[in-house]
Amino acid sequence: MPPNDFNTPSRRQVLVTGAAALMLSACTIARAQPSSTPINASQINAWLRIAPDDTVTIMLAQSEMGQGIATTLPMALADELGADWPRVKFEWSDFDPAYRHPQYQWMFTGNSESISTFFPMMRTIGAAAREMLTRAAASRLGVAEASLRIETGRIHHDATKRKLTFGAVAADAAKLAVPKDPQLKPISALRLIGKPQPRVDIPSKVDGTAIFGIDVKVPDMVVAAIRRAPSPGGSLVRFDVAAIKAQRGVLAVVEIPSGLAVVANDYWTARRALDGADLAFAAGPIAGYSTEKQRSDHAALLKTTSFESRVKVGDGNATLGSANKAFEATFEIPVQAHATMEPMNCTAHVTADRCEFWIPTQGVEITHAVAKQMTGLSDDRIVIHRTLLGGGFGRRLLADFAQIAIVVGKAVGRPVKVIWSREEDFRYDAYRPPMTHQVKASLGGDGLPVAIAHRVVSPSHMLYIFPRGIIKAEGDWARPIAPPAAYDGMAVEGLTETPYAIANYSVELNRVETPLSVSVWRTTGHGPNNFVLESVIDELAGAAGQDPLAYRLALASADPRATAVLKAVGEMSGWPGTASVGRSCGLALAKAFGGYIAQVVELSVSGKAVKCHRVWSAVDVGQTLDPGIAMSNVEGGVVWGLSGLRTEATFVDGEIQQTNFDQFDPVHLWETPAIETRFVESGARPTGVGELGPVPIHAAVCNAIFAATGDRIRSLPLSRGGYRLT
Amino acid sequence: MTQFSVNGRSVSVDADADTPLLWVLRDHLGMTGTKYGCGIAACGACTVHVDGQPVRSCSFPLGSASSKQVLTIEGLSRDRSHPLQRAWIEEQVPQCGYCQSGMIMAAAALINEKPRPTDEEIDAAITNLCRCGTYARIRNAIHRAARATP
Repeated sequence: MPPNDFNTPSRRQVLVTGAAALMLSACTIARAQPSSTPINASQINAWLRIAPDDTVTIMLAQSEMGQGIATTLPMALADELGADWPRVKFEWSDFDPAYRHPQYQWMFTGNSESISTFFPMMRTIGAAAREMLTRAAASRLGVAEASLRIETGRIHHDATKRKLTFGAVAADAAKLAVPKDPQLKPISALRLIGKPQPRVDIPSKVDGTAIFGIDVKVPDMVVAAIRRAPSPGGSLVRFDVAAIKAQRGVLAVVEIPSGLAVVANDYWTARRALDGADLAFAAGPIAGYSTEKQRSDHAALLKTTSFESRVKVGDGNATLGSANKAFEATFEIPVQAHATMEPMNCTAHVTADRCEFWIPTQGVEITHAVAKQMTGLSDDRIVIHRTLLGGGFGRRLLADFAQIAIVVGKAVGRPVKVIWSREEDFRYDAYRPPMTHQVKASLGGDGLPVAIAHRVVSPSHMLYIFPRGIIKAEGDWARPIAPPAAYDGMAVEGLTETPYAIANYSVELNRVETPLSVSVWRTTGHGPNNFVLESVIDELAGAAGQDPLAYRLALASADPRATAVLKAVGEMSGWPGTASVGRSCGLALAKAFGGYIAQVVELSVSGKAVKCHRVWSAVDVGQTLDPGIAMSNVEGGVVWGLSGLRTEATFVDGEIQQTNFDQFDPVHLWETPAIETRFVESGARPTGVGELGPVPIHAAVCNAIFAATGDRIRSLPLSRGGYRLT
Repeated sequence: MTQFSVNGRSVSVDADADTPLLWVLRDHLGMTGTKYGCGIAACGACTVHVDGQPVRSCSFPLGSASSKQVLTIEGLSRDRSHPLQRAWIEEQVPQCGYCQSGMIMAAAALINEKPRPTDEEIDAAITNLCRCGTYARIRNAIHRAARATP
């Protein structure tokens, strides 16, 4: 669909004066804090309105799933504008081309790209608005623009001690042309950015007023529970609609793909009727899938030559043929479930001429596109109200939970909230795919690697986010990201660009097909690939008889950012004399998501029980826009990474074996180490920190386990080697 | 009809006695601060107090609440003034926030019983799950709240 489909007057009118719809979105962050944006506010551009009472309203295209973006992006715009932060509000935007990621031309929140993409954009928009307000004020006062200054929501003319409010000139400013190349403030002139700020969403998250998707209430709404075949894609072969409908309180029974939805006025009435129903399912297309078979299939593929080259520097294979081959090993990465604390859910109201959602989604545009296809409605008839997300981690980039809500919503003709049980959430996840790596390396006379040849067997991480099956034809996706080759970048990311200088280096990929539905999971390909690379570097350091930190510093000497985080984490942890008595340390370095992180883990091993005591991280995201929020992301990332050393999703006969938190066991409070984080300000372009924290932790922990026991862990989770994180 | 008290208010609910208290709070009484996470008392997102004791309301039948006092996150204070709520804001604990109602209620039960909990007592009492990994700040916030309580 060409972008100008959305630029018709009717669409623009919705954006400017559709106050009811926009205000509802704003209300969803907390019932206690309803938006009070006056409807006669002046629209400066798609992102910004200023009301006569000086209230500045900033649209938020990115979704808030805990990473703090609802604070930092509006703050960047407000800071550049010179607005009075307490008088700034934000609203979730609906889908509109104006809110797309400019590179991909696609609206989504993920891949730690919100800061790298939207921080510069927010500043430019804030600067443009500042210039427009200044111009309007200069005209009003009859003075030169250069004689005016803007501070905390006021435009000052110091020579005559006159001042104007934003609200007083907003209507005039909105009539002016938007400057194409506005002058940004020097970073030193920013007052909010760079300092820890209280997050705007936190008060509502300590008193129960925060509204997640599962909390949505709209007039005349009903609630649905769903149950599908335990093997994804299986079919429902026996059910008795009359018997289910005869249960007290059941309003409707609706067939959905692979299963059934039961609708009632409240969740438990629907759930009980569904749990009590006599349902029989037939196995589906993935009934032959098992973890055991996947592992042997991958191992067999490693013996073939069906790999495509992704990086080739020098001639790794020729060098490896010589006598100095030092190393050859295979690594395995398990399937992971997202297990967001808020199970999938979506509220939809689908009528003949309108499709309206209340949805906790990272994927606004895919939801819009799916709704458009399933309903045949035009763009302006599809309305998406976003809520807070009870965890995202990549799971909520998909639109499958919206699809089911559309199916049920069409059938019942009134607003319906479809809530997945935790078991449905595990069975119908889009898992982090399994990967298998083989690495060969040889060392030179100085002990450093002269050749590394790295082979990866991996399904695509990204295919499912842009699913061919959902959108009619792949040809509809005429976007830069669409070519199939681009789907696979994640399978080798973190390997194709490393901080290390290695004379002969190759990365090859076998993009194996998988019958599982798979997608991105916090750390995407960087996490698994870094585990392999940093385990290998550690093994090579050991083979060379060198200290792991000194070895990495030598290998990364041409990369100043890598060098700086390595030195910082060494200093923080006291490396190499780090470990207390009975404890051991491990190190890993990552270059990922545009930033760098070096991590040291201190742990002890008792029998096969691994206890992590401390984690030090040195992080370079260019410029740390909010040190408090960034630190919380790293702390949480450490825990996410540690959980991934213990959890996995395993399959037998096409069915996942872990369907609730009694079997899928993330890290708890008592298992959390002390975490110390330092930010290294390199001054590089600011990038996101949401997924950086967990990237090096798997290698750092396994390298520390080696230091403690002499065991090399090459297959995750730790249980495969008999170890357990405690 | 089952009668009990929620946050000091007397209520009567017309639902089967085996209906989990969680869904009575959320759907019958419209109090959505208490969250559904697992339905099997494994994650703690649904933690509330019944007669002062922390319970996982997804697995606590309505009938067992009869004539009892139920306290939910909405009733902890009128204005986020409970020492734990203040500490949660000062430490900037929540990320996605979905588990935090249950976390705060579990912590409230702990400091009611042990006003100055040790790290070991916090380890033993806070068994709820947080996928964002806010545990270190939860520990700090509990200590902060304990210090702030005379």
